[in-house]
Amino acid sequence: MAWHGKLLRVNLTKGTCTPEPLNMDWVKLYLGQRGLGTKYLSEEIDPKIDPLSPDNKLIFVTGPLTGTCASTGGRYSVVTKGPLTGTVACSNSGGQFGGELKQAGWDMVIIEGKSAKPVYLMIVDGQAELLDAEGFIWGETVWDTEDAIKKRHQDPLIRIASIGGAGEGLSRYACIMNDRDRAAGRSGVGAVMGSKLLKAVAVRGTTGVAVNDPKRFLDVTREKRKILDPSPARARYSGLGTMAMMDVTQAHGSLPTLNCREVQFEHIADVNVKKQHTVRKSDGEAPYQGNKACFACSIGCGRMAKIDPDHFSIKGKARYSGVTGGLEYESAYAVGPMCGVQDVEAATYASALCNEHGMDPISFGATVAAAMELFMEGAITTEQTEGHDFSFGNAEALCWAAEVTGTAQGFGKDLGLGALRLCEKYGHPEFAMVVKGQEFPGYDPRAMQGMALGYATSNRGACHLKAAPFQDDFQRVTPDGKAKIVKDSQDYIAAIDSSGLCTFTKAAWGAPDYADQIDAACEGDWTVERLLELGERIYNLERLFNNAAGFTAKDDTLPKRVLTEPAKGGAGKGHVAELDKMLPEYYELRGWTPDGEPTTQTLSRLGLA
Amino acid sequence: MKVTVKLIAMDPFSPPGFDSNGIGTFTLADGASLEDLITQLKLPDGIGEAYMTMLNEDAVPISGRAEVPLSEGDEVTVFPAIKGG
Repeated sequence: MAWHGKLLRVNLTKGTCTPEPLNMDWVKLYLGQRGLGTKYLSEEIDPKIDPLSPDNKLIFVTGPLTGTCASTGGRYSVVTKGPLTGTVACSNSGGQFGGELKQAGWDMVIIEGKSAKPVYLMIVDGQAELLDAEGFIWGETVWDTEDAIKKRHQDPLIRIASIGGAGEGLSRYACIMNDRDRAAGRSGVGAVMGSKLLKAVAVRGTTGVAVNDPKRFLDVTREKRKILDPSPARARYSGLGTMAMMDVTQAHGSLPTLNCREVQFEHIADVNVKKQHTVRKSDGEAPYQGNKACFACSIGCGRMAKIDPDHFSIKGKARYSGVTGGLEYESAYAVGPMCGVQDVEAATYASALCNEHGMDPISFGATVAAAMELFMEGAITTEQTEGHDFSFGNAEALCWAAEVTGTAQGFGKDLGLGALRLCEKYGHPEFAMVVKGQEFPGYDPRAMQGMALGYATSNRGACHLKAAPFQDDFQRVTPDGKAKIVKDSQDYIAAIDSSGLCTFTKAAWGAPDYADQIDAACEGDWTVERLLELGERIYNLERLFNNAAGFTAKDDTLPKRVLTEPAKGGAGKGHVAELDKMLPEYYELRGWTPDGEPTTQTLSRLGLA
Repeated sequence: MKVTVKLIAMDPFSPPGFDSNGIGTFTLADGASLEDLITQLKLPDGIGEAYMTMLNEDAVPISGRAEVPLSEGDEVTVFPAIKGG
């Protein structure tokens, strides 16, 4: 129960949609979402394949609590081999799509092969078919794609996950967007979808989700909401949103600025949460317009914004005059301080274009920042940038970059490569602030040593969501003790990422709160111990995939800049990321060899041998 | 002695004594510790909440606050351990 026991296999080469039973033995070991998707991927593809070849598979997978009334129970994941990194990629999204897919009666959709022509997948409860996208939605933006599908099928409640120009153009950091501004955002999962000529997955679900013990499930989920809903963390996520973080990283000295040349931004007041809430003179409105919640969520952290109608970025562009998604902290850091841009309206516009065209704003912003450093150093000139001044801080250049990258035109194709490939192309790979090819989120790893280790050992490249050393990092800059914090939180998060619930609930819930809800929904005894072991199993399975793809301990590293150039201010002043002091202990705690490979004993203990 | 406290990422929970920018000046007895100051601020409690503190530009662990004496003119920054997204 809580699973339908059914997956949909879509073979684009053959044009077939075939129901299959879900492997319930694997469910017991990997739960759902991130864990179950990774298990299927590991079993069905060779980790050495080209991520953009027809041999790759794209897995949309829900968790047991997706589509239920558990608060935040609307999450789904997209699992594939990522074209940005070459590692396993798992991108998690909210919105309404995941809940709808589950309510249509499917636990998972596996996309394989490559279509001969652009298509979209239409799912209405138990029925699925591939429909022609050429001359209909191929070439359209994410927003227009959603509108067109709903209009053609005459149902405004259809939920859609689609790619925009970035995915069609195979940008290495293209997203899969759903519900206009929610994203399976990282690692380029949208490029895999584009490589298969699959434009969208549209779904309408009316069958509901059964749980093992309905009365107990209602009681338990209600009890957990009584913990979550009145918590200060929930109110802050709702009241200020993730943007509250920018003042924290600024004060702490962990705000990546000017492509990590700096750790604090002198123009912070022009792009922070207070600016987001400040009423403009031009139209008497603030950029912040209100909140948007995902399926079943009682937090409602999502920001909605309106761009200044007088701002240069939207002059004569009526489609951007309304309310749109953004800014969130990670996108704001990347298109703001990381690029030195001190214009909240330009940042909001760039973020909106990332949604519209389907590209990861973190990787986009960090790639533009790298391009700006290349420009400052003379490695690229106005010849490449088509006359645009790519100096740090140029808001006009940022907006133009979003336009050409989102539509894969001209220099936008270079920017769509991601920071590492761009910097390698122009002779300065050291300017790429990446791990395993994926760009930094909004935390400089010099003041945050746990984050340094978390970035280096994340199975999808630099990521702030796969480990949770924040609380300790904000108290101590020294590297001691970080290995255990990172390892334990990685395992814990892997379990939450497989449940159907949102990681933000960690701010109010503990491990027993997740275990209670899963146990009420599912058959079998779901204890805290079982969940944590399951999380560790998932982390090791991802590692095995990456090792088989060719990654070794040498790839568990950070850019030379943060390893050798001390932070210039804040709590980490004078510090570099001390990775060498943390990695050996981390490998030992993980039960891995010094080469970063799980030992036979570890694999045996976790049932992976 | 007087110390300046800056609260960040705290709205809508700013306690009394702070201006619209989240900045307040507080008077403490000589010899008071950072822990004494945090207690005096009466920050809201909540499950999963822990308040981070920086004294001037240095991060101070929660466990060490009682051993950190404050001085006239110190600047203390207080914020919850939130995560981005």
